[in-house]
Amino acid sequence: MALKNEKNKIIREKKSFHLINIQDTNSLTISPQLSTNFQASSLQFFLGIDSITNSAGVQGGCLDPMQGMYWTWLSGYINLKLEGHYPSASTSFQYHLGGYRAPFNTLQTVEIEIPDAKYLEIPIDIEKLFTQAEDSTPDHIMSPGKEAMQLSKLTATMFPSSVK
Amino acid sequence: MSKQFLLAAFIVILLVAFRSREKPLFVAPPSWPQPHYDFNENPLTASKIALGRVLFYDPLLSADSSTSCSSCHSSYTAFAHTDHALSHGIHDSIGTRNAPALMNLAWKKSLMWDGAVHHLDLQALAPIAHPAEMGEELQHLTLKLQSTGMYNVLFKNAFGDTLVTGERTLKAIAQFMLVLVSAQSKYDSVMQGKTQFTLQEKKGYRLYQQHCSGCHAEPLFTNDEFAYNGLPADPKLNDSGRMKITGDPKDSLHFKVPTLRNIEVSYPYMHDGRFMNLTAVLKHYSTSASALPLNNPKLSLPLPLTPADRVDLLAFLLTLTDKNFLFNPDFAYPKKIIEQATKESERLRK
Repeated sequence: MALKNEKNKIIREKKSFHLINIQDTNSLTISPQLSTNFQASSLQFFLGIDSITNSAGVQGGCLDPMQGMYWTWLSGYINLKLEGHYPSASTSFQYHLGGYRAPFNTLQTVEIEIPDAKYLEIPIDIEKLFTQAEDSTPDHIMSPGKEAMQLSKLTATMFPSSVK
Repeated sequence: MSKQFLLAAFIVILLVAFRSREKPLFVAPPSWPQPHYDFNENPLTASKIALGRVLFYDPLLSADSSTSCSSCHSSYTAFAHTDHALSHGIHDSIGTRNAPALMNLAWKKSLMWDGAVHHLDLQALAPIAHPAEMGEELQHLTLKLQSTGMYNVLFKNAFGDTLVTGERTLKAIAQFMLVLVSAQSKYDSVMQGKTQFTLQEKKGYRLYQQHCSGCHAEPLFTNDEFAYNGLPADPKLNDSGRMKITGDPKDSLHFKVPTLRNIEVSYPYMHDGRFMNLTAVLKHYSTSASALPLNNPKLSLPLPLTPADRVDLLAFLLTLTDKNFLFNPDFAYPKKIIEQATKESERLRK
């Protein structure tokens, strides 16, 4: 996670990994270890885990495989899990998006314009993922590859380009 | 000045004397390449290896407490599974691949027959979670370990407190796997000039160098790469091997080259355990044409080996058996460690 100011100066949080779990309200509030003395104009973060972290050995905290965001049959982090049912149909969907090896590196960059504030609320619009996805997108994507790559590109659009 | 020198010599002797009292936890044979594993990221300690060893032998790691790592990886058969061609897990499930022998894992760049796992720390996750192997979730496993008195003691010894995490559990298992070094076979003694091959073994060694060493390269007896060795795919298993991971058709039917060390005891052979003995393996290489185009500059099939050559080659392969490794008491079921930790946890409870 990083902050940028008007002069394009960037400060980055060290060892910056945050896991957001919609079922765990505590995880929905993030307090990054960043200087409060910085007139930020935008917030930047990766959606997913970079390839260097992916290539390393087992790690702890929110990177611990016990969090369920690590594939077991294949080495690598799952960047985003989204599972559910369509209300109109009896079909379910299950998306475990990840993969860090070229040409299917699913890591996305998000940049959001922000006001200079101590507390920010960032809405995530999951519907955007579904309205933009092609009709041919399968209901189940659970391994790295072309399909995971295509859907991952849309995940960044769930975040707003600016917040007030 | 001579006084200073004496003092220095005295200190050196003291240090040496002190160090030699403890057996080193891991020794890389001097003539081998550097291990691939980064020990700085997970420094070995006796208590972490002990924890990893107890975990390795504990069926608690499976969903129904029936299957441990050692169920399919027995120390006496170089940590392979001689009863079954394919792995055998909870509820009598049968997997799709032959449980490989475990040794010299610190030198591996990737693990599993298809290289799906890129780091030894994360290897144990695969069999623990696989529904046909141990069928357990890591999160649930940490809760089971946390509520077991013996593990509270072992985790405290290893990590300073009783907290069980996925990271700690996997790092401890990796430490036990790292110390499984096999480098004391007759072949090794011959290379060190301590003993000599018989005439037949010597002939077999030359044949090995000529026909096998391209992939099964010394001193690890594997180049740790993936290769197609001419076998037809089993139509029931329909296993494409490395291609499953890379998506590249060139990798179809490619599997990890296994080590030849301790090959005598690690039967059955091949990724699907289709050959029950080495005679059948050598017969494949010396009498079969490749089922599909080989595209492998290191191998052309069939290999020009006469029946007499095959006997000589087999004699050489038997020199790769390392009895010190197979019967090393430090690698066997950790009865003493379990008893001590259980006693300690009972003492703490009182």
